[in-house]
Amino acid sequence: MNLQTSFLQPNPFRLTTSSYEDVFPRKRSRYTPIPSQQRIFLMAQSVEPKQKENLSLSSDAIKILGENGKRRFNEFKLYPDCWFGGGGNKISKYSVEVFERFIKKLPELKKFHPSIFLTLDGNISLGFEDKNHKSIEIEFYSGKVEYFIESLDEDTSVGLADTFALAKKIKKLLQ
Amino acid sequence: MSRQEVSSEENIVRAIHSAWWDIQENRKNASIFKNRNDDISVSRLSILSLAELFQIFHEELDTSPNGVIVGAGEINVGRLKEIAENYSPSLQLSVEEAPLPKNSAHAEIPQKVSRGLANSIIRELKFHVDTEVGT
Repeated sequence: MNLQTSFLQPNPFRLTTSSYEDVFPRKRSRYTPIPSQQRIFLMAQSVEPKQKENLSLSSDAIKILGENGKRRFNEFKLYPDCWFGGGGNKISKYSVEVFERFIKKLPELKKFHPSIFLTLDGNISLGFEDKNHKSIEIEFYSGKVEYFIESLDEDTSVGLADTFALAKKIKKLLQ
Repeated sequence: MSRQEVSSEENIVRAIHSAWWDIQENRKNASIFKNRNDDISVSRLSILSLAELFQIFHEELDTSPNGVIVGAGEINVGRLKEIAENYSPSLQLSVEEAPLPKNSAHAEIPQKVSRGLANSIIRELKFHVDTEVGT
């Protein structure tokens, strides 16, 4: 064979696109490369925890609390330590995080125009009335959620692991 | 030294911070009458008028740049005790004289008040909005 022209001959070991798919069909489907536009979206999502450090409410929370709730939250952020005479802790970022995780489970709360409060412990508290106009009040601590549900005569607290069950219980009172 | 109890005939007020009263939704938070480990501070209307007390509240409690005392909740001491007694679980409340150099009308409730009981008390309060604050 003429060596100068041998490279022009079809190479039996060269994989074309179709032969690659034939050989590695599963790998191809399981490891599809992420298009660049989607990659940008995922990077934007990973920025969210940084926003929480700045104590901004998420768009989900604002939708539920409305402009009045957003304005009150922004005021609470400005309270220094000892904002009530000698007492009153600065707003707790941990409380805000627990509150955010909880409120996202109850989008239907929006219709009940809930009020947001700040307690002397620096915790976020939420107050509203259920469908029978009975009071529900919740305070978000860093490690627990304390609540009062008038219709059930419950005045107690649950650990963070049980907040999903609490949200479910409250959901029933709103329907 | 034991402190003198305030008479059941008297009316007392509790200062209300804007953090605990959503005026737009007209909703109040249990923090108005729920304590952590401290006594609950109240003031006696038989000693100082509401106008005098508002002045003291602003001087002593308006310590944040935005949040302020927006009002006061008034209740009769006898009625307050009755609410606590009828609540489940029942609680024997007392209001004790505790005058301060800047507030001679100051008194304290030493018992621990739960969120539910605080809500029951708040419903019975007569609210006074401080018109000076302009809310």
